[in-house]
Amino acid sequence: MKPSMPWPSEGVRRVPAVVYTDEAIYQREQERIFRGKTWNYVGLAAEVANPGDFIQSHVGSIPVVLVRDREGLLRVFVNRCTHRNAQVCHEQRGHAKVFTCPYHQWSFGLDGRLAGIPFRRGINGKGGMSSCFKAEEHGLEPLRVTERHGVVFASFAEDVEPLEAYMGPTILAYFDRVCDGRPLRVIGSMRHRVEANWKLQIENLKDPFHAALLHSFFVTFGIWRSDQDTHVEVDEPGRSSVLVSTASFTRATQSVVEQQSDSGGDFRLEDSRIIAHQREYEHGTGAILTLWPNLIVLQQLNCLAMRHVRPDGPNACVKSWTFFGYESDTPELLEKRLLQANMLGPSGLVTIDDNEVLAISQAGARSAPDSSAVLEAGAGTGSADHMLTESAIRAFYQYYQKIME
Amino acid sequence: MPTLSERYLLRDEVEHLYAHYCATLDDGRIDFWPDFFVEDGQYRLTTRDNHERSMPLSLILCRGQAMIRDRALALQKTVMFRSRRQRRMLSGIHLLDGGDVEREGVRARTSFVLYESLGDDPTRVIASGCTHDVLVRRDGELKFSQRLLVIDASVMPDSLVFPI
Repeated sequence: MKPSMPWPSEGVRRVPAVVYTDEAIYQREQERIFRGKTWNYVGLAAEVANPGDFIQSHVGSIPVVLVRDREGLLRVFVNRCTHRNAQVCHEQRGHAKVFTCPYHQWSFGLDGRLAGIPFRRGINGKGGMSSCFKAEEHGLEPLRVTERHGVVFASFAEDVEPLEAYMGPTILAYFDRVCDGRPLRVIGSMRHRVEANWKLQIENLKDPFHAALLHSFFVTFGIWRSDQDTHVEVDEPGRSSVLVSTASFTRATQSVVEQQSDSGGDFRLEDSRIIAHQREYEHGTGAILTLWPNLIVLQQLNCLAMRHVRPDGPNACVKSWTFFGYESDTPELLEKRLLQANMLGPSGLVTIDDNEVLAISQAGARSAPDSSAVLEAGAGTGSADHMLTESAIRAFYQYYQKIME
Repeated sequence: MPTLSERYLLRDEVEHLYAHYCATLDDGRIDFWPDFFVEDGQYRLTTRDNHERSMPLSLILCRGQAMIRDRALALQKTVMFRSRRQRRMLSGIHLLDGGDVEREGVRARTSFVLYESLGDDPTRVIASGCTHDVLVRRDGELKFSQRLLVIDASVMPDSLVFPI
């Protein structure tokens, strides 16, 4: 049955609550978006530096394995034995020569080929695989793989456009601003499950309005504020965007404080090292890129992270943060990245705000399936040189509707 | 070499410190959290996944009591979250031999579970794990000069708002 996409007459100035809560719409997203013509982030090349290194990842809600094969090529497979569906990879990460399913010990090479089956010819001429069985037809299900500057993406679609064209010039420029070809160094990860639809998390990073209202910590310390130099860049199809802000590190003026219901008031940091910034990039002190469908490339001061938002049913998502720097980082710069990470993740002084509002937004959407969210800040679906617009969210849903219809 | 009775007395003091620490945070008195640390005390919370790979990233990293005070104050003044009740279960206090509590400190290893009750939902486990602590006596009182907390799970079920 085709799920209905009941968009109100206001178009993308509204988002029907069911897109966050409906199981049929969720299944359609898996098919149309994550199994469709998308490049899905699966990991960093540095996480699988040597032949045989692997990590588990996901494309949409589908578990996959990213592995470097014997020739050094990056491969991505669905983590499912082609015999009876058992998962062939059980460790989050590691090193393997083959992947062997524990159930009937079908074993698969690092290139995904079915390399071994026990008792293929039976015992004493009895039993074994039938004569029409062709091992070459039963390799692990492969995905297309591409890599740019150490970041690895996979796609179920044969005919997806090249990654660079998929990003478009604006998004590509901001992607390359952080991932510029210097070798990346993974410094750790954080993962947490939030009871909110995956799109709520993606929208959150397309919504510059909230940053200066909800995030008192940012406002108090002049890291992200509505009176600062800010812009929103939306790509041509509308599906990806970037928010760029320049921190003043000055305290909010009285007019900004008055708009803020619970700003930090006279709170001052005794030890300001957790926000001490070392300038690394031009154009803004923070640039947060959301790449269709579910990757957030985060640069906030010296914190760099790939934040992968894995859908976990319509009512939850798992946020998987891979923090990184460069191989060339000085110990001082690494220390800044580590201390500033206090703002992010499950215990982040800024992220906690988001986790909470996302969960209560999901609860609200579930309670009123016939309602719609309102996106009336600013107009249109294009770029803007200020924060007080919801244009990037409207652009996302314009594209979403097109893919889902 | 401390005498048996000295070891028992120290153990009693250590148990009291942990009980007081947990009760204070369970009572929501985050404002008293910094008082459990010495001035250059470190608080670090990470996952087993990061720890075993020697990844330097932490979920919480406070270098010094001033940073611990900043986090305590930030949680009270700038972070938005629904009110919740937490309950810390701490067990298996294992004092490692060797350190002098008056000087470099005594190393302790413990296990913990953190429960959380929020809104209408039933109580759930937020985290389990172990701690690697260093305790020192300053002005007659035991304090932490180091707390390293390692969470077992690599995925947290939600936010970890208050420190463990």
